[in-house]
Order: sequence, then structure tokens, then C-alpha cells
Amino acid sequence: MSGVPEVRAFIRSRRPTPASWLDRYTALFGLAIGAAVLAQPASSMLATIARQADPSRMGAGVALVALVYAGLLAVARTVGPVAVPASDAAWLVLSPLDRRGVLGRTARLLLVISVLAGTVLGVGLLAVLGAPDQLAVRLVAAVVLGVSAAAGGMALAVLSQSSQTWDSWLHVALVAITVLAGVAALSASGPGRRILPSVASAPVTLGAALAGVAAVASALLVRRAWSSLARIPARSLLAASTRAGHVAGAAVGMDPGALTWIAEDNHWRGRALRSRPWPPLPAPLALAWQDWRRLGRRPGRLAALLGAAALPSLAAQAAGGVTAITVGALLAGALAAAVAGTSGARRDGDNPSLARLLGVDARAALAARALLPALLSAVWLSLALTGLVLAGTLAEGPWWLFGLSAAPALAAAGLRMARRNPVDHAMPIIETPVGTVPTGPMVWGLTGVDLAALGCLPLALALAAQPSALGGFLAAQALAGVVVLSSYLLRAAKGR
Amino acid sequence: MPTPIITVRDVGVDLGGNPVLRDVGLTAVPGEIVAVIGANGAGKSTLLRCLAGLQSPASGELDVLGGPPRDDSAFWRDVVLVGDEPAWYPGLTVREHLELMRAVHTPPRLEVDAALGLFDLERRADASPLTLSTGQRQRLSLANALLRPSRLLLLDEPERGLDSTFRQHLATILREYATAGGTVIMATHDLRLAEATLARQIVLTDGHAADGRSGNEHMADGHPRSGHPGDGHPGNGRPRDEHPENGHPRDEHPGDRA
Repeated sequence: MSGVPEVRAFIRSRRPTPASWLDRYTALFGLAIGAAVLAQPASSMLATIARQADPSRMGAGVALVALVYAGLLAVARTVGPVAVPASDAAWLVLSPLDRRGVLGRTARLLLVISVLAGTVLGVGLLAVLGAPDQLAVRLVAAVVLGVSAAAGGMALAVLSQSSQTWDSWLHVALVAITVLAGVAALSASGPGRRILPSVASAPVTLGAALAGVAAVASALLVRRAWSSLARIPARSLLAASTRAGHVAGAAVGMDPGALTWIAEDNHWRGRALRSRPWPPLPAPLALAWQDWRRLGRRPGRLAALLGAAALPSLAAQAAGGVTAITVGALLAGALAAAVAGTSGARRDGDNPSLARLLGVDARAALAARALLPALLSAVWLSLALTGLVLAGTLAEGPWWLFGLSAAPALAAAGLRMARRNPVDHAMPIIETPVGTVPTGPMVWGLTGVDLAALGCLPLALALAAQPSALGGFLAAQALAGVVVLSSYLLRAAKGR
Repeated sequence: MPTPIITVRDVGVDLGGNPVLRDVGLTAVPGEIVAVIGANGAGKSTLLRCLAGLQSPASGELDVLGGPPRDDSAFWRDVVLVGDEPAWYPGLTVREHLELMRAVHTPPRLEVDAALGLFDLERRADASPLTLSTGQRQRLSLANALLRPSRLLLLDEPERGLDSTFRQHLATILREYATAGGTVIMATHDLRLAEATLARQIVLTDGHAADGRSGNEHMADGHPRSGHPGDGHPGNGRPRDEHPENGHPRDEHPGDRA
């Protein structure tokens, strides 16, 4: 029987255009150019690290780094992380070939991803904590710590794919990191406000020792994960590969919307539900009730959404004030909250069969479906703005009222985003000095965001100006919200 | 004779430059079941899409319920289309999908429990439609379609995924719908289903329509009789040129509309 290398060589030899020397040269040249471009910002960033960090920003910074790490692990757990291309899944996994040999390439790719992500995490952590002395040693220790954490986490995710026990451990680790992030964020104002500065000013040898221990623990986990590859069950691989195949298909077809449906459908397939009577509402509201019920059945998602309202204040604290990033995080978060309540509009936009069967008037249905996104974005934005006031990054004032007044515009933006057409690849490609810009994906990406930006302009201006009296901005925001939603409803229903 | 609620005259459809339907005709009156049969690619689904207002014909006349079909809520209050599997609303169970339909269409044709029983879905009432088998999902589609009141039922291969027992049961359900005054137009590959519903059969071949036998009628030669494509009723139109070997009408000028 042939081994994996022979099979791979056979597949390679049948490809229409094998990689030529020119392809390899182009790839290497691209990497060299990338390194040259990144060298300047990287060196200037390293220069900014070599200082005593501001203790008041440390908590928020550490919390953000921890949340990014938790996000990395959560993504790895959701994706697989061990997945193979659809053709390999069909022909090589379900075959007598050595499984570790088939999965070796994926394992190496995961290791590279872990090293890159770990380096970024390590440097990020050092940037937050600062390096008052011995920059080189601290940098090496931080990178080793970051890479160990990322590689160890990835190994844990690989192990969890073949064992329920390891999956439980990964779940515990995710919860622990998220709690740690919360504690770090709160530490700036609590009795533990001296902990992080004392960690930052700890002797270099302690950091190096910690990095060494982490590296050993991580190496043990990686070794164990490598040996578990041979026993990884085919069903888990096939499921992960199908997901990865959908992801790749969606990426090639530039239809990121498909990804959320895959996640959504997977969630409901695994859930045991219990029917409840439908409330006696008029037809459009009865139709819109579907989104309320769906959200009520995902309290964890709702809690995560509301918890994310703390992110703008964390970003503002880490940056030392309200910046463009804070405003962007506010608007993006509020829009995401609105979009969380628009699954019905999205589903009917993608496949109108059920909407036709229901036969509800399009405008009335859309108006009824605007209620939940408006409520969600209002609550989210009010919480986030209150958080900014409490953190001291915004002046005292009724900022939370912006949540209510911007909600209609955000609901319209959320519905517009939910009902947008797939990417139009027939749209022209514009040549610019920095490269070609495909307008199809760009227009797709901006559909919905445009209404949010337009409808929340008074709020953005108020955040930039931070006036002492908010009345005028609030009135302008309320007007903008109502105008944007009503014109959207009028236009959208006509266009159907 | 009752007034037809569907009148299709000389309808032609081109998709991507290829003629899919040519000079197709069809009429249907309240209480009638019409089965459109034909090979894959014969144009059955396209004809249904035309009747539902989802496809504009390149030529000919279409009249559904007193006017040209249009894709709006007033039209969909009277017309039901069951084609490819719909996208189910996330987070709702089988029963809740039916309850949503019942909440929107008051009073309903069937109560939710009756629909669950009729379509043999009681035991899966609390399941997400995503966890059902293909046949069960098709039964849920049909249950949703028949729970609500309507005047016209357009079914594209309603037998898809259904076992033979349920297909017979479906024939009874459709006959009852027609007896109550509803009209059914279904595209199907299942001649037994067409016969069990006592449907008038229209055979589509290469985009042309011809009348076949009706459900309780048997022809000695096994070939469908040819009729005028403009009215779809057997025996009341002028005979068309018929291919001697396969019994299907031929296009006298095949290149004319290509």
C-alpha cells in the first residue's frame, strides 16, 4: 500500500500547473517586501515599549490582550481546529492511510499560526506592561510566553477534538481567561490596583523563569496533541472539514454572510427545544416575534452582547481617552447589537419562500422587525456610553440618551445589512496607486454601515467635540434617527 | 362551466438564450387539480414560476386570479407556492413554524394540532426543522402550505423525499383541498400521485405542452393525447403535429424562437 507522501506526490503531479521557480521567487519576494514594510512600524513600536507604562492604562490593556487570546482559542475550538480540504476529507481521511500523515500538513499550519499569533500577543502584553530596562531580555521572555500560550492553547484545542475531557478543560480555560480579563479591567479602580504595576516592575529573571515554565508546559501539550492526531475520530474531522470547506467556499465566493448561517444552523441542530404557544399578535408583529423568541433562546449570546458594551470603555482607558477607535468600537458594537435581532429579515432576504407563504405586507413586516434591533442597539449604546462616563473618559452628562435617539437609525442600518444582496462581482475594479480595489465587495461591506454612519453622525460629532451641553446634539440625533428609519422603510418596501 | 382562475396562452420563456417554454397553454378552474409532467429540464418548474409571478414570460399571456401574477403580499394571500425547501427561521420548532403561520392567517384552514396529525409530525413537534429527515421537512413545508387558507396551490415536485405511503395520503389531502374549491397545479414525476389525485395531466416535452390522460383515464397505447396547447383540455382543441415515435408534439419550426 502507498504511503501518504506517495499519495500527495501523485496528487501534486496531476495538478495543471505545478509551482515553478518563478512562483517561488514571487512568494519569497513578496515576503521580503512585507518584512521591509513592517520593519519600520515594528521598530518604532519597540521603541515605545521601552518605557515605564502608565499604571492607569495597564488593567484595560491586559484585559484586551486576554480577550484577544480567549477569542483565538474560541475560534480554534469552533473551527476544529484540525480540518483538511474537502477533497482530502473525502478521499484521504476515509482511507487506510496513516491518519497522522494525512493531518501532518494541517498540524504544521496550526503551529505556524500559533507562533505568529503568540508573537503578536507577547509583544502586545509587553507594550501594555512596559519595559523600563533590559528590553531585549524582556522582549524575548514576552514572545516566548506568548508563543507558549498560543501553541499550548492550540494543542489543547486539538486534544479537545478527540476527547471530551480535554474539551471540558478547554472550556474551563476559556472561562478562566475571560474572568481574568474582567478582573484585570476592574483592577484599575479597586484595591488590587497595585498588582499589575508590581507585575510590570518584577525582576527580569522572574519573567524569564515564567516563560521557561510556560514553554515546557506548552511543549508537553504539543507533544501530546501530536500523538493524539493518530486517534482523532473521522466524524470530528469530517465535521470540521465541512465547516472549513464552507468557510473557504464563502471566502472564495466572497459571501461572508454564509458563515453566520453555518454557525447558526449548527447551533440549533444541537439544541433540544420545547415549543411554546405563539402570542396572539397582529400579523406583522406575529411574524417579527420569531426574532424575539430566537434571542430569548440564546441568553448566553445576549449576555455576551451586553458584556461587550464594556469594550469601548476598556479601549478608551487603554488609549487614555476617547479616540477614533473608541468611536468606531461604539458604532460597530451598537450596529452588531442591532444586527443580532435581524435574523428573520436576513433569512427572508436570502430565501423568500417562507415570506411568500406567510404573505405579510412587506413594509409592515419590516417596520415590525425594526423594533427588536432598535431595542437592542438602544440598550447596548446606553450601557456603553454610561460605561465611558463611569470610567471618567467622558464628561458627566445624559450621554445614555444618545442610545435611545440613535436606535432607530441603527435598526435601519441593521435591517439594511441583513437584507443586502450577495457580493456583485460584476462591478468594476478600480486601479489606484496602492493597488486594485474591487468595488463589488467594498459596496457589499459598506451596505448598512453607510446608514449607521450617516444616522449616528450627531453622536460621533458630540463624542469628538465633547460639549458641555448635549441638548442640541441629542435633538439632532433624535431627528436623524427618525428620518433615517422612516426613509429606509419607505424605500426598502418599495424596492421589494 | 366555472370561470377559469388560470389562463395561460402561448407562453414562451427563454433562459440565457435557450428556449425553455414555447407556446405553452393551460387553463384551470376552481376545484381542479392539474399535474404537469415531463422529463428533467422540460420546463415544469419554469411554468410554475411563471404562474407565481417569479418569472416573466418572453411572450404570451398569463392570467392568474383575474390578472397577471405579481410577487406581492396581496397575491400571496391567495396563492401558495411549495418548491425547493424553504429556509427555516432559526430557533423555532416544527410546531412554532406552524403556529407562526396560524398567527398570520386567521382563521386558518387547519388548526396546528390537526396539521401535525395530518402530516404525521406530532412526534417531531418540538424538534428544529434542521434535525428532520428530508421527507419530514417536505411534510412540514406541505403542512405549512395547507394550514393556511388559499385559492391556488402551486406544488413543484411535492412527492420529493416522501415515502410511498405518505404519497397516497398526500393525494387524499390534495383531493380534499380541491373538493373544497381550491385549485392545485403540481409539477411531478410521480404518475401514481397524479393518478391518485385524479389530476388532469399536461405533458411538457422540450418546452411544449400537451394534454395527457387524466387520473382515472387509461389510454390503450400509453401515449398522451395531443390537444391544443392554449387551453389544456383534452379533446377540445385542434390536434397538433405529433411525433410518430414518442407521441410528443414536435415543433414545426424548431429554430424560430431559439
